[in-house]
Amino acid sequence: MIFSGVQERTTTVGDRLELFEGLIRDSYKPAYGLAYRLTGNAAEAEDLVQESFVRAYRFFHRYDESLPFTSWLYRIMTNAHIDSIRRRGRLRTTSLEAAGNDGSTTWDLPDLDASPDRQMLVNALDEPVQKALLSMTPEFRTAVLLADVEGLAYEEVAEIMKTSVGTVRSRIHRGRKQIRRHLLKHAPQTYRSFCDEL
Amino acid sequence: MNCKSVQNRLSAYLDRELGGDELLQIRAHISTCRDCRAEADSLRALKCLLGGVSCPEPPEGLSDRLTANMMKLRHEEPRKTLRVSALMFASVTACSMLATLLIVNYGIGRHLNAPNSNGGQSGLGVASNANAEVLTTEPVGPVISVANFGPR
Repeated sequence: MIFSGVQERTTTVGDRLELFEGLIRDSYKPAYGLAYRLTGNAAEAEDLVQESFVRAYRFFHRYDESLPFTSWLYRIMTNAHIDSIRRRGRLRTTSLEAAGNDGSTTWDLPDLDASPDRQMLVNALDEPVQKALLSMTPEFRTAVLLADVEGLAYEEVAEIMKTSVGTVRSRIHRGRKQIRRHLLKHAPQTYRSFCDEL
Repeated sequence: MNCKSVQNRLSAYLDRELGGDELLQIRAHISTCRDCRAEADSLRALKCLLGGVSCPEPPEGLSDRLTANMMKLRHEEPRKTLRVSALMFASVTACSMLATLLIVNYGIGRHLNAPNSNGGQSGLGVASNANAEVLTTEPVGPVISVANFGPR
């Protein structure tokens, strides 16, 4: 009787580990991509991915299998990210004016007049976009990333962020306008070149 | 719909998140309003940019490190089991308390129903009868106390 109980538990734990190995293989790349966009650097992104998978493993009994695993993982990740920012008591609100002035950050934008290719412009705008994302509140950043970078529908974003579709709609709209303002202020030529390319 | 209402809905419009009348109204408005059309084009360009930024590739060996980390949790008691244990503990405690209450109640009942020196009446019976008698005559003892707690 005792043996069968232990056997049953061992099988369950073994099954769960095996299942998780598969889930990690399938989802760690997009998970890392989102984590990187949320945190803005490789070390914090890896920590966030690790933390998210550990939470997912520990609370796997709460996973509703009717949802894609990545949606659930993103929910865990965005919560973990917001928690971590609140715990540290600081928002990653980088002063846009200070960027480069304090010597810690500089944005060397390449001269793109010679090669106005759209993908090159997108690549050139990558850092300013990331900088703009980090200047936003985590709620706005998460909504914009899930909708624009991950390509999720508003309803899915609302489900992940545990909020209403109306709130998501507002966060995405205001978030995008903040990014645009940032780009027009800090990378105006490159951004206008990109717009002209379309 | 005025320009402000239209512009507040432009992101949702571009994301195909609007339907029915709202969608038609915005479409009709931007076909005639130059400012709103320019705003829609600008937001469309931004959406295109955000959709085009590449997601960085994970560092070498991340998948292995994640799997190794999972393996460390192999011997960790699953949270569900802990929750079940807590539930079982709560159930057992509740059952014990209920059983104790029943036993105590049964004991008191037996004690009260036991024949006493007052001609076989129980203690409770005496009290009830006494109160009933008091109510019909003059209020004393507990009846007075109850009356005193009432609103003045």
